[in-house]
Amino acid sequence: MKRVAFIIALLCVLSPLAAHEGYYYTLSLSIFPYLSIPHYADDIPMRTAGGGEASIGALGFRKSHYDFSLELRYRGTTASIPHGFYRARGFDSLGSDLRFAYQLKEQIALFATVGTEINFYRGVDSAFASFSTALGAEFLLVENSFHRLSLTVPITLHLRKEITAIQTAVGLRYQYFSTRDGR
Amino acid sequence: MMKNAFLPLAIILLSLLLFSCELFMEEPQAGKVYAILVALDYDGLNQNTLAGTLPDAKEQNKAFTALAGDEKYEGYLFIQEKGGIVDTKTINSTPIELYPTVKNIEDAISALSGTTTADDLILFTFSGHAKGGNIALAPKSGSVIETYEVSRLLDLFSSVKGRKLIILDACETGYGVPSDPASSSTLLENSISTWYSKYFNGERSVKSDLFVLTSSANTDSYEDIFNGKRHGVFTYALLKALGWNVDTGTMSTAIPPAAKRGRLTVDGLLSYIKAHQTLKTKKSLFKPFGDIQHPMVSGGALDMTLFTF
Repeated sequence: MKRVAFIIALLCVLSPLAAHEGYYYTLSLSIFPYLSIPHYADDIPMRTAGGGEASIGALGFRKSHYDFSLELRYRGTTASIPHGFYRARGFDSLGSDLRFAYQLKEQIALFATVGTEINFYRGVDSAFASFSTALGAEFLLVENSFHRLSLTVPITLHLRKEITAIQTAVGLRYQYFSTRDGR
Repeated sequence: MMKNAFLPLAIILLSLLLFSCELFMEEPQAGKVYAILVALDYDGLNQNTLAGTLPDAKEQNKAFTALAGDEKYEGYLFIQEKGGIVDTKTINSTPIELYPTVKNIEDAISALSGTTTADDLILFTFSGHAKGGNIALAPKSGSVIETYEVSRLLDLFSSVKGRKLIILDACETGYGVPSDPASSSTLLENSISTWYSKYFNGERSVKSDLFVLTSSANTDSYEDIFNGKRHGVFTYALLKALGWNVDTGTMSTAIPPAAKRGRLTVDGLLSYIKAHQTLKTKKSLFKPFGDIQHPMVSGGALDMTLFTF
């Protein structure tokens, strides 16, 4: 895993050297409610928390209607609303995603991501691995030759071992194209 | 275009709000609080004596009494001290000798299992010696201590109804913390490959009503002198977290400092202890100089509420 992280970091550093037509950098921010549905018997069917996410990508490529990127992600999820004698613990996640987008119309695109992450329960020195997948829509807000800003509305499934969680986020995605004709 | 974006967004947020089960489902009411408090000073036994253990247990008993209220609290102090008088108490019509042998403690837990309900809180505290996840209890006779596996203790508690919190202030008690099927302690299993292998190992998770809070993961636990009074470093911070003033021997009337938004939880206790104990905790990047003592709690997706205010 350390080797994989090293290779990803190396690619991120080297990618600007190969700044060709269509390559871009990206920063995405989003906030979401987090509904965790346990696979074990709990007092209530699901527990509600919230969170925020930030992704950076130095390996993005856009051509015609298609858009691919590899992104590194931080996700912070709060503890859930307490109910009864229990509440779900909050955690911080570090992971990476592969993202694919298809431009439906000039201002609307659909996208999908798959990724994996390591999650650290806040304050209790405990960690777990998980996987994430998302589907969403992207609405173009503004763009010019180098910059592009979109509103994103993804629905994410956080696939934990003992819980499946649904996130319905709203976010902003900023893309910077290093070459004018990149788009 | 913006209209197109806000409509689905508004629908999603509204539906999520409606699905927030916590806002609509009735909450259970807290029941009684039972506590078994075990402390040994090992005077007269084949171990180094510990002067802070007995005050630890006695003051925890007072603090829990104050938190739960006299009428809702039943505490059983199992004390070993040289020359001490051994009391007998009746638990669920079973007379139990309050001396910390394996048999007496097992009898007490078995007796409790017939009297508690799902809404009760059951506390077990241990102040004494331990090694590798085994605690040192008093012998029935003679001076050689009897070691007792924490896992055996936890198995016994699994038959007791209610929320259970086992608090262990002794060396290496982190080894006694049960492994969670879905998550790993970063203090004991700090490896990404272990975390991923846990994801795929097929072991099923269950909601645990038994939490274990220990003074240390895999290191020694220490005592120290606080304003002339000897206590375990961990328990001293725990008492403060509960709102107990060790110097005056009184309970604060305010909400305990470890409580957040009117709830005192297991994780809240742990966070407070880590932030306020006098010994350093283990840092992920830099190992501090000198003795360290890193408290630990059982893993899993949930945190458990002990008291509400």
